[in-house]
Amino acid sequence: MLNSIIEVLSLGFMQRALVVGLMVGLVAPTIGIFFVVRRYSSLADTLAHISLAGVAASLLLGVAAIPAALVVSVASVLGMEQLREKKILAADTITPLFLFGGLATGVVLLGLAHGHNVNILNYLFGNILTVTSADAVNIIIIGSVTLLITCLCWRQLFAISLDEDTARAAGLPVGLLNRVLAVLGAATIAIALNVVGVLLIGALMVIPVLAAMQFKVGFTRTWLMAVVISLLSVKIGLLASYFLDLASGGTIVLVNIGFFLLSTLCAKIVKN
Amino acid sequence: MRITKASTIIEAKHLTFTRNDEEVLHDFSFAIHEGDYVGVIGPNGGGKTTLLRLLLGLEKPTSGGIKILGGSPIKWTVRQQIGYVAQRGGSLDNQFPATVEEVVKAGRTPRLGWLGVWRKTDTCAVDKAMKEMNIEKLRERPMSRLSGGERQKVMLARAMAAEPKILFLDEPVDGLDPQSREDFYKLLRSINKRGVTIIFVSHDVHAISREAGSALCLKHQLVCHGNKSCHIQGTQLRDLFHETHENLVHHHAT
Repeated sequence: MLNSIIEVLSLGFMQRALVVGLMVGLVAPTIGIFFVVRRYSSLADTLAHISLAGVAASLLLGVAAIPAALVVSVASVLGMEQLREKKILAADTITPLFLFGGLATGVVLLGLAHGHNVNILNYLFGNILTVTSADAVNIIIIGSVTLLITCLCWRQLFAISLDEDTARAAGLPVGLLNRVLAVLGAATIAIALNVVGVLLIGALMVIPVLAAMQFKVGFTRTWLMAVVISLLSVKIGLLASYFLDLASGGTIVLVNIGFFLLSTLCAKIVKN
Repeated sequence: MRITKASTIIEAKHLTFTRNDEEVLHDFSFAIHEGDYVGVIGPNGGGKTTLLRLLLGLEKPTSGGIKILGGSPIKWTVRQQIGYVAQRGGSLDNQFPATVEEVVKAGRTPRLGWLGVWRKTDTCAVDKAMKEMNIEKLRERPMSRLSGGERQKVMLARAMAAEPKILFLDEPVDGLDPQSREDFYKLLRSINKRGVTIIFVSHDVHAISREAGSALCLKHQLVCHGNKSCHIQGTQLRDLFHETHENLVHHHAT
């Protein structure tokens, strides 16, 4: 078995898949923890659906999908924040409007791109094994920048997550930090497109964090545990999908859910 | 011995605030001096929390103006000198994964600057705040495993970690048992003794009467602001609360 794993890992496409998967596995819970504690999980889904419009546009224009998804998601999320802040539309109106608007735009554009030999399933459900070298470079660059910005703003993001009013009263630029977090979320979704696809990206950001939260430890420890769970899920899911000939995105998310159930059980045993 | 008059630290002039065409606060003015311990009292919906939010710069007055430490409440240098303890620990969810130390450290974050470099002075300020609130032993404990009283002490430590000149509190002891309330008020007294100006919102007449140096009573407008001495009659309290309370009497050192 070990020999088979070593043999598989020596394959070029598998190495690319592993590097990309581990980068996404690190970034997703790092941003996801802020989304979960701030109850922004629906924003992750909205951004994922919007990114489909970016992917479709890239296919029509003949440009790389990941940067296109990033540009469309960032522009949309900044627009959403602006509408929310100026109170032009009610907060619970903005999210579904952008979610369905993004999805509908994506579907229409994909229809127009029908003759471009598009495998839409790869973007809906992900296929990490089809990641190209160019995709890998984009993912590593965007992922590294996302991690760097998060690292620099970590304390500020934590403070506004605890309590926005207290943070604002103390002088933190809450509006700006909210936008930074939303853009980081958009970047995470853009790089996770190939790994789990539009429909499962939210799971990669949320489930490892929920699993770690079962242990009721501090914020930093919860983040560390979520990262470990996420990285293990990507690695196990990737190998399982290869050996069992399963869809990679779905397998990774199912392994994540397995870890969540295991964490819940362990936390209960520890508590008792 | 020469007695110098304390300087004005908060000044509100002709303050009016309207929300959805309804006047929440109507044209009132007051001044608070350095080192004061002021209780803001009034019935539910009377505008207490709105006044606090205006003073914190979280809401903008419809007309009139506020000056804190000589500047606007939204000025960054002013906000750096303000501490705030929200009602029931603010919006902090019981499931929020954070330890006591992490929460107290978050209170120091606005003082760190953009790169967020943590210095020795920051550690000292956090340790000092935790020691003062007597929560050092809880340092590693998750917030979800604290009692209501301990939780509010942590919130107070978070505010004090920024070493503020003015401390605002919104019904800080709401929902706490009598002993926890007494412990909390004791901490506020010691903070005030160090020269920190305290403004706390409450609907507890007895607590304001016992703890605060002066009272700011409001019900959409200023009913009474006790500066040197404030004596609110039972009839005024009835008018404020639509129920009978004992007289609220403040005696101040002259």
